[in-house]
Amino acid sequence: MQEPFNITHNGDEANDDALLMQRIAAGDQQAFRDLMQRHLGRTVRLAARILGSSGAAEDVAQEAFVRVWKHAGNWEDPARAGAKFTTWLYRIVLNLCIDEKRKRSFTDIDAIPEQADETPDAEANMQRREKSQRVKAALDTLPERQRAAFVLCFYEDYSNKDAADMLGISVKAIESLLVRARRSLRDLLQDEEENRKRGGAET
Amino acid sequence: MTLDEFKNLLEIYSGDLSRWPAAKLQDAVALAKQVPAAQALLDEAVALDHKLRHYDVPQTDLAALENRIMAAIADVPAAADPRAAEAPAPWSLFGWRPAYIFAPSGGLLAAALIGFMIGSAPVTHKEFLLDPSFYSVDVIMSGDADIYEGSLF
Repeated sequence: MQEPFNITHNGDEANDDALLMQRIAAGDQQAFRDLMQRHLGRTVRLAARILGSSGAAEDVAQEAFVRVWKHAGNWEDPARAGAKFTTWLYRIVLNLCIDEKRKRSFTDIDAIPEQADETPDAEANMQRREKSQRVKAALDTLPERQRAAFVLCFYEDYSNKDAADMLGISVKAIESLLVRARRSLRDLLQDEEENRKRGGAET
Repeated sequence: MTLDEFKNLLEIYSGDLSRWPAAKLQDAVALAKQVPAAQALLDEAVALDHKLRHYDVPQTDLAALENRIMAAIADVPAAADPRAAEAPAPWSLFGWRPAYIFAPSGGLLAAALIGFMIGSAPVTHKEFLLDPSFYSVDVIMSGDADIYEGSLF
């Protein structure tokens, strides 16, 4: 049994990832588990925001990490002019998400109405869910690249440079995608709000 | 900083000024203080950010998923295993892989050369489109094609 990876806590996450990847390339399953513990949460969240379905996001995360396991030997350490592990991982994730979106229009199990909430916060919870659904619906209308760029920068707080590396495009192109995404989201949410107000006034 | 530049930066970096490049921040804050229209744009951006932050994603049982993945790799050869070396690289984005472009294109190029040498049209437009690698790139670029053409706004 391999020893768990001893994280350096020196703030050099990329270096820790590189060390883990070397061990994974040699077939070390404990190193693979350690690497997953560092990145699985964010991977699932990123995929869920892009796909709009947590079930599909879990499948994508699983496939991405299986590919990491299989291809760890192909990854090159940034110290040798390769890409950061996270850039490599999220490229795989984004690619899989886009394939998934194109391949099938899945039933969104997250959108299935939940059973009646009878807790004291029921009203507030319902309002929160409705607000979340409205944003999700708006995000779903964005073209793939705009949605990916927006999720990476706005929700996952990556720099424009990191997001550009992950999407394999220039920083200028990322900026363009972010501007378009934001304008579309603003207009969609504004229209939706006005329609809701009009609907409320008529009833 | 002009109001247009301020607006453009708000659309790129959002109303959260902590995300802005340090080099722009001082001018942006000064403009918002001095020009009411800039402050109004900033307020609008912050309100939009607030709405967008309502998007929650359901919690995932990460421990269960981690175990599922460990079970999935149990039957998969590791990178060190020579069988794994035969698998294709997984990190191409949007299905685009240089090899997909150049390998089939090599065949087309050879066909074009032979066609030229025997004096007939080498590769028709139709045949060119049948090459799956080019079809793939065409689909990929269809969403935001103009970001590759220089003018962004």
